[in-house]
Amino acid sequence: MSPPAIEATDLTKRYGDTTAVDGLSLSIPQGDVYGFLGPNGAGKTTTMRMFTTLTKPTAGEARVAGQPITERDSVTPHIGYLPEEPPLYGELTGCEQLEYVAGLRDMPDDVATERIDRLLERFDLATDAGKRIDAYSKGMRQKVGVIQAVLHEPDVVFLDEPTSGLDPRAARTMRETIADLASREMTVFLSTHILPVVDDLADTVGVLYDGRLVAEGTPNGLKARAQAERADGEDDESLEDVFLDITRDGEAPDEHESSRTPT
Amino acid sequence: MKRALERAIRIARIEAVRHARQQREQPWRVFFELFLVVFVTVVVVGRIPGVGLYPEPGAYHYGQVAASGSPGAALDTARGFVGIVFVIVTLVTMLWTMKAQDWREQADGLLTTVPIPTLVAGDLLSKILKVGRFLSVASLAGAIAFASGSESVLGGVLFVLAAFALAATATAVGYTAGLAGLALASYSPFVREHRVLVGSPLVALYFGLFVGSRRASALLGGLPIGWYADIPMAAATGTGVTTAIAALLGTTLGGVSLWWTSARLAERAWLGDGVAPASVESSARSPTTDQSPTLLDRIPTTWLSRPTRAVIYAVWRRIVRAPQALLYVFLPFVLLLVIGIELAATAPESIPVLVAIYGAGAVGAGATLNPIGNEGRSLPVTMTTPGGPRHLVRGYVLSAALVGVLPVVALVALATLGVTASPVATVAMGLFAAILTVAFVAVSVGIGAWLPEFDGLRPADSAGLTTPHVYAVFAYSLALALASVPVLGAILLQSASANIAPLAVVSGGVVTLGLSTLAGGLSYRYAVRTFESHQYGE
Repeated sequence: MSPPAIEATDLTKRYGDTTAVDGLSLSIPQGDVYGFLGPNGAGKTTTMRMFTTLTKPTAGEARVAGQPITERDSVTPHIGYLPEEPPLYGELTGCEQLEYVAGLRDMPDDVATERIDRLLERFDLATDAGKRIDAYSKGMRQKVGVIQAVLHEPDVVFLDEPTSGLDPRAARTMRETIADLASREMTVFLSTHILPVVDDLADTVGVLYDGRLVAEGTPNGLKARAQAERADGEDDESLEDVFLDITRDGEAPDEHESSRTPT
Repeated sequence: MKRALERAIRIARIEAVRHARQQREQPWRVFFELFLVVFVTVVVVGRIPGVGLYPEPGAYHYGQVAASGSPGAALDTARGFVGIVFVIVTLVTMLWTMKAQDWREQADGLLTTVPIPTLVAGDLLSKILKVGRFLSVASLAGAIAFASGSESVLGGVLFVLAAFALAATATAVGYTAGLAGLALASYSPFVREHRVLVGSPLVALYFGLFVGSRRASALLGGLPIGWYADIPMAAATGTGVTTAIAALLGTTLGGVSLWWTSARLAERAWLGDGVAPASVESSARSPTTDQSPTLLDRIPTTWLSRPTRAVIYAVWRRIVRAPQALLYVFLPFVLLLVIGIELAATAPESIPVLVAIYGAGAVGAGATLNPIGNEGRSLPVTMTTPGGPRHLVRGYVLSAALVGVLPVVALVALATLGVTASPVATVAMGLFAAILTVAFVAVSVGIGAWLPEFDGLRPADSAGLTTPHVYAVFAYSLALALASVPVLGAILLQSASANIAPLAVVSGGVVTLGLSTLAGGLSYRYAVRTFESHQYGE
């Protein structure tokens, strides 16, 4: 059996007196799409920054693609990352940006050219690839950011709000791309507030609340559990209802420990 | 009216809070600011009998002259000094307004909340407070010195009033000029995109004023902006009352008219339709199929890795499209011109060395002086790429060195031939210039990593290449000056005394090279380590 793509044990990040992530433990098999949910300020971005080696944990340990996250040079060849703000140079054209990242990743020119062409076509960016990024719309930047994150076909890709700012057509392309990445045995760690996207794509959903993983399971498993717990017998529980139930204001996270369901 | 004033004060107060919090997060800014405050204070107070801190006359001296009852030529000098301060504050505020980096974040929110005249008043007030805060220590110290020298308490009080009036008026003039520049730039995509670079001659003028201050002071002292010097003098001597009153009236009337003008200009600058950005590089996509190799591509990858090459190309492309990053490259040439003209007459043999130092300094004053700030939002890409920090720092250094070494060596060789016509000396000086240039570029990348300047408030807001932080430029200039002391000192000693052997100059050059290379090596390693240990988002 192959090792998990992402594995964390008691991963903690503190900023002074504030605990952003508190004892996070999870294990994500290779090729899974993991939907990472949580309200604003729950610690999702901090978790992603730890997994992508951009920030060091205060305590606990984690491995990504089998490599400890404290060793940046071991982890980075295996990952791709799209932060909330796509990391792009405004002065370059979309195409130059992708060529630059391919160069940084030491990809052979012919491979890079083929992949850039293919992905630009796929995301309807081919005709705009010669324009400077600072003239792009938010959605176009998001697309270039995604292409850049998956260009080198990493083992694990971290996507922070990848559908943010996309029009419906582009959002659908993004969903198809994520499904395609998963079908290629790429592990996708997906953070988003668009719950139907997670419902559609995720094999497993984890809910972070106040820095703690308060629920984990398959989308259907979480929905079924929530439905069973509802006294009113409502039978059309959505993932949104589950999320709102779990992250209800003022409710102690400890009460949700039981929400964890096996995948 | 009262409500508008309250709102303007509220805007200024929030800006002051933000500024204070930014300072708290970056203690090095406070360090540099304190350094400058102390420097300005010492210059303003000037020479004090029995205290050998600063030799030039300042507030204490003018106080003594005022007490004698006949200020005469001293008043002209004071007016000249005041004129220079006025112009410096005006130019700094103008560039500051045109750059307006921290403004964009909240502009839309404020524009839809308060009327433009109120917003302009608040923005202007916040800038006056910042300038006032910076000059407050020097003003108070100067007032005490003037009061002591003139034995007039009223003179000291009016000194503070004069300093405030000067700071407020100069800031308002600079703010209005900056908004005029922005409004003008809205008609031209080129000017708008490269507005900082277009404004660089003004920065050059600003530095030029320091260099040729005696000539500038005579010129500026003859203008009405010099009359602020008459305010404390009038209290102590009773002369120049008319010009002192005119200066205070000018501040009041000028303030109101400048605010009114600024509000009109701001409407155009902030809300005008403007023109579309010059962003389209080509109608079709820049073809990845066009892979015709350049000279750089012909270098084997064992010598120049593909990732480093990618960084070099990216930096070059970005600089061509955002030349504002080269703003400070031109400053050494301005200094070279003024100092060079004077030295050509007194110590011509020093010219090749000066060309080497200033040329090398200029090469390192571009994008390498702000590597972290220039990466900004793209830091996650660099940091999640295998060996990214090493490739990035190497790429930045090479991007400058590959372009800069040859012109500097050529200029130094020409200068050497002009002075000695000796082929050996020319080759030696060429080698000296080449090593110095690479070393200085390495020094600059370290200082830039230490003192980054972001296009936005946070790295994530910063998508573009930006001008280095002024404190980074300051630290870099200081490092260059210190490294140059051995060789320049030896040359000056030789010019002053025939007993100093030429070998001493050569030794001075070797020590300068040794110091620069050592500093370059350490700075380079520091830059790599800074990137490697950078905690994004913290």
